[in-house]
Amino acid sequence: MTKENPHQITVPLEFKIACFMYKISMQDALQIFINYCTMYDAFKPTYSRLYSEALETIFRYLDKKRPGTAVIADHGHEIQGCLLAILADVVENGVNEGYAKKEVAKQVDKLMKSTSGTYYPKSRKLYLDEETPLRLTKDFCAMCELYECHPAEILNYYMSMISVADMETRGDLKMREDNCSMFFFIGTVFNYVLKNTHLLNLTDEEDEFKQEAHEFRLHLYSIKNFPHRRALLKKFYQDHYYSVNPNELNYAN
Amino acid sequence: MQTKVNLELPKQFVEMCHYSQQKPEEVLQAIANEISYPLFLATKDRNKKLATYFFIQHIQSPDFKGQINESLEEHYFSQMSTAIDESYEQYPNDEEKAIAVANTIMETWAKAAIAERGRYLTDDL
Repeated sequence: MTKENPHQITVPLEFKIACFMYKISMQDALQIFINYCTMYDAFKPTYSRLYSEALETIFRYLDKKRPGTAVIADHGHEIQGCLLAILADVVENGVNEGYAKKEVAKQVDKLMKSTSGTYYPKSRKLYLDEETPLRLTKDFCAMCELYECHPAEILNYYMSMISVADMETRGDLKMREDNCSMFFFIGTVFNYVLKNTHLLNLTDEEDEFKQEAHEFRLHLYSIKNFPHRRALLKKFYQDHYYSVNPNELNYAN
Repeated sequence: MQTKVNLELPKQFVEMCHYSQQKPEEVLQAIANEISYPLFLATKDRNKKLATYFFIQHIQSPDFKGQINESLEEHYFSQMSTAIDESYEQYPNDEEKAIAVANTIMETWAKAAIAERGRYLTDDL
């Protein structure tokens, strides 16, 4: 086993399964995440649905990577102050949002010019595989500069937090859910399906699997131990995934 | 246990009974016979689980008004599945034995659940 390269995207199986089950391409799922990470919302002191969850994912990653230390790196102080001031004006003094967004964009440009681009690829592209690029937005790159981490680190962390089996088991056992990344994933998938309503039409196989999965979750009812139950559901989804995508199994071995 | 049940039979159900020439109580009896956690957990026959699947789905539905003591549920479910595993280890393929072992645990569970719910219910029995 080679050690994971933090500057490369490594897609975990659970994330593949989640995208497969919700019929969203991995490229789209990751691109949507990137697009939602904006400086404007990172520094706005109020909650905005999905934007706040995307940002929280980044902050949780940073907290995990550098626990206890201040999130903002040294050269970030100046711009951080500017951004906070701009956005405080929106909330407290009712400054026009469009205007504030432009001001934030100016700050982002300033930051991008003043830093050397150590933490993101110059092409502002990251490849899922040879043919599948992800476009890194200016905001996303600026954030990587500000917080001194590579875009792939953030995306790898985001993907590692996604698990349908985990979410459903927590739901079935009526446990508290505190996974902002999963919340983001489901929220964006929901919007995605609304835009691509043909995804709601299930093939016979998909429909059959949906019923099988429903029955399997009823079957798990007697198991109240969370890790045990989650492991069984995970295995169930994995088996199904491999049966539909047998090539993946060869690849995994 | 013999009991009289007062039910509002839906039209469709009555029609189904008419067409298949059965009494409603025969149909309900057949369903009731198969609602059982011991059977559900011990049998390998998927068809014998259907009635209990329905039961589980019912107690998880938003319309369900009963209250389930979850800590008892956790305790007795795990006891039951251990007992079933052990029974199969000792007597492979003997489903009846496994169900019988689980039934005794179910009995204890039901008594414990009733005791938990307080005296006003046990006084009735």
